[in-house]
Amino acid sequence: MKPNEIDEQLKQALRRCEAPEGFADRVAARVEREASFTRPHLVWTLWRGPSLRWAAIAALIAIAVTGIGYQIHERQQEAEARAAKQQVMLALRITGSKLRVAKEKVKGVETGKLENKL
Amino acid sequence: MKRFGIALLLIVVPAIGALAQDFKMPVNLDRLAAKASETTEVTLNGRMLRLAEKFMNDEDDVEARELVKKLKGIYVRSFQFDSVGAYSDADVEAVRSQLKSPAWEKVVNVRSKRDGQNAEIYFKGDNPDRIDGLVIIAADPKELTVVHIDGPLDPSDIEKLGGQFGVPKVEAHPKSKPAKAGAQ
Repeated sequence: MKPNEIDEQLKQALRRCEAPEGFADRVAARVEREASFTRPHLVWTLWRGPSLRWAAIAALIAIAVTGIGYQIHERQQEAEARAAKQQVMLALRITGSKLRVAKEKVKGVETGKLENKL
Repeated sequence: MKRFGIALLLIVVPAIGALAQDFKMPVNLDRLAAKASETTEVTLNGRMLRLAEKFMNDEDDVEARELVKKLKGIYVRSFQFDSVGAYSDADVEAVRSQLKSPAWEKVVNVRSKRDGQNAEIYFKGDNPDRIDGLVIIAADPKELTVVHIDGPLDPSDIEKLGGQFGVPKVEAHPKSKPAKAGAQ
């Protein structure tokens, strides 16, 4: 190839030419699209993975079950406490009545002795 | 070896002594429930008393709560029978035999031949200002009641117990089914 030919080919290749129609718009649109695209967050990336999703669901179920279990336990304990209170009151009442009977008997014996003396 | 023996004795003897002072409701009493027309059974250990305490917040409960706070247990066995002679003296003796240790003192012993109403009251401990336990044996021809209150009681507590005590009226024999609330 002659040097003139090379010059000619370079001129051809580097000649100014008009951009295809709508090229500038397409470039602008693409720039805008790429600017709005942010890389997904790490948590989101992991969330999309099945293991973390199942782990989170299991944790939520565990929390719910624990909460319900605690509520049931609290209610059972309250019922137990109320029953215990009733039992305490019953026991104290029986004790009181028996103490009173003994007291009256002792009083009766003392009164009898006094009457006998008189 | 000799030292070990002495050490063992030092541990075992007080433990046996402490056990001898403890009062437990005899098993034969529970068998009476089968013969009784009405049975009241209250078994409240320390844990149950602490639990009950939490709900004794009414105005009427103040005195009872103050008493219960100090106690380690309340045990009641009360049987009503339709006929005379449903229980034997041996049944009562099983209770009395446990109260023969020096830790227990019989303070009241009422025996009425007229109406057959007998009452025995035992106090535990030798402190004049405080007793460490109370047992009541109340026996009628058709009724037998044993009450054991375990824990410290002041003389004023006994007085309150014998008085009205602010305890609301509760039916003493709620049907024939025994009411259990814990384990001794």
